[in-house]
Amino acid sequence: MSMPSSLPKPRAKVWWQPAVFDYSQLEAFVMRAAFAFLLFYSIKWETAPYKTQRNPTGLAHFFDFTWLAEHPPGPLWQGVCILSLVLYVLGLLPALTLAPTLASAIMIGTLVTSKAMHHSWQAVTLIALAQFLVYAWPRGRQLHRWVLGLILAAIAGIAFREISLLPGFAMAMKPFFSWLGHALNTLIHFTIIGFIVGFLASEINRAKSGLPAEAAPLRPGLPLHRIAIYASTVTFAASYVVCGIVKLVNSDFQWIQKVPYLSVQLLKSNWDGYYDSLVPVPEWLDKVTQGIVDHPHLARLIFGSGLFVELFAFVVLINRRWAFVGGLVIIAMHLSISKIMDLHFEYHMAAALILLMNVPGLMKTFGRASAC
Amino acid sequence: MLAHLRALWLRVPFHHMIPVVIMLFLIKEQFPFSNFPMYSNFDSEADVVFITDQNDKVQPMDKVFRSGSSTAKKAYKKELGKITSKRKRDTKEATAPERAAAGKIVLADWVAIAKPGALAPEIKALRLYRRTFELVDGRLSDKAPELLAEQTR
Repeated sequence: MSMPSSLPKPRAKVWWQPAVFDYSQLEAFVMRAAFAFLLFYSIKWETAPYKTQRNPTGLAHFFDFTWLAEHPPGPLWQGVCILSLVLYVLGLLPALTLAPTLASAIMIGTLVTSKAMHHSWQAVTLIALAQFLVYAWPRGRQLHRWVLGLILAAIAGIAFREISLLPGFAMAMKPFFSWLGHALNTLIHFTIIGFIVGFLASEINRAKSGLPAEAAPLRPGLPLHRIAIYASTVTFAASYVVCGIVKLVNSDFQWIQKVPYLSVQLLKSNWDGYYDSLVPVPEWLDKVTQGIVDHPHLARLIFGSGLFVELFAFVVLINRRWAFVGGLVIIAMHLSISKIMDLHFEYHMAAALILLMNVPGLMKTFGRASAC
Repeated sequence: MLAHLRALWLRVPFHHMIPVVIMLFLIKEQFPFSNFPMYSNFDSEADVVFITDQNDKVQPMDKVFRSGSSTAKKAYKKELGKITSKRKRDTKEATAPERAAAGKIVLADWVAIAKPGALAPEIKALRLYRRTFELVDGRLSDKAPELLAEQTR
């Protein structure tokens, strides 16, 4: 399972410009296997309770997925997904073999979150989407431009739809200017998204085009799997960083100051658990919540460290050791949240274990020559 | 021009992750994209919703409805938001009838998804309650639950 000597050995130039890690075949195989299991397991296959999409999100703005509540995906479709995931793990046509499970994850996830938003498995679906894009994105310049053009056209279409839905059009002057302001805002918003999509797609295309031609096109080689894992890690890290930034922005940069108010959130989340299962709330709950109020600075230090972990999650991209330590810290953070707040992020912890801690690569991570 | 911009951008630290962060931040909550805003802001109050029978006996929501208290609360807040936004007000300023209207919609949804046979035959009606926790003057308080809606089976 060692890397053939003909493969380019990617290496980061400087620590803040990280590159693809030098995963071995075995590491990439284990990661795909564990991730395939995680992706399948994270899907809420029992779709019967989701009969409406009253609060549409994502594709639910354009498509009705409530048919999934009437016809929940049964053993046959789940069997197709499992079979295709086995082929994905083996590295056979990974874009095609990842597609059925990814499509199920997106459609079911969209339906479920169109009832009420959940975040427990969202990152896993997002990682699968990133992997799919890496595997499926065309290599050739011409085809790349066509596909990118279609995606940008879709983004432009969504932008104009958003603008057409803005209220206040064709009224008096004041609503018109208000509409104009919102319309410009929407245009800028989508233009930035379009630029980012274009940049990321071009980076994937460039990275893929730089690889040697596949000896067996049905079974891409290790360099492509490494890029897919890198894209997964970037997506995972970005989801934590954005979570930290949103905390700062939404709280007017007062998040740390407001930590004592977390006491009522702790009460809420633990009582949520009680009303779900009728398992009594822990006896220490009142003491801990009052403790947060009575010792606000200590509480700020403890909960503030969580915010710190989120904001600096990008360090997991630096090298294998940073990834391992970052993964360990992320898992520790989620375990403590599980204990204190009764909020469980098993899928995030599993993703950190698979992508960041990378157990099969421990020897390499902590070996003498560990670099990237 | 684009090549120059790209070359410039590639000097930015973590230049692949930053665009993804910006994209997630801008797209916000559109599955599978998210800016993960949970617990991003909080004030002195937090509430939970729960369902009881006609005698106020609490029903285990996961077991009976396959959809928990937290999901019901988010659905309730969404419905309340739709009602109050029409009148250009925040959900915190919602009146009792507005809360009841939102509660009625959510309870109807949850009754519709009850697992067949999970509710005992003697249960003739279900009630949706809202319970609020508050931090006032350094003390935590727990208000008496507010009845939002009741629906007969």
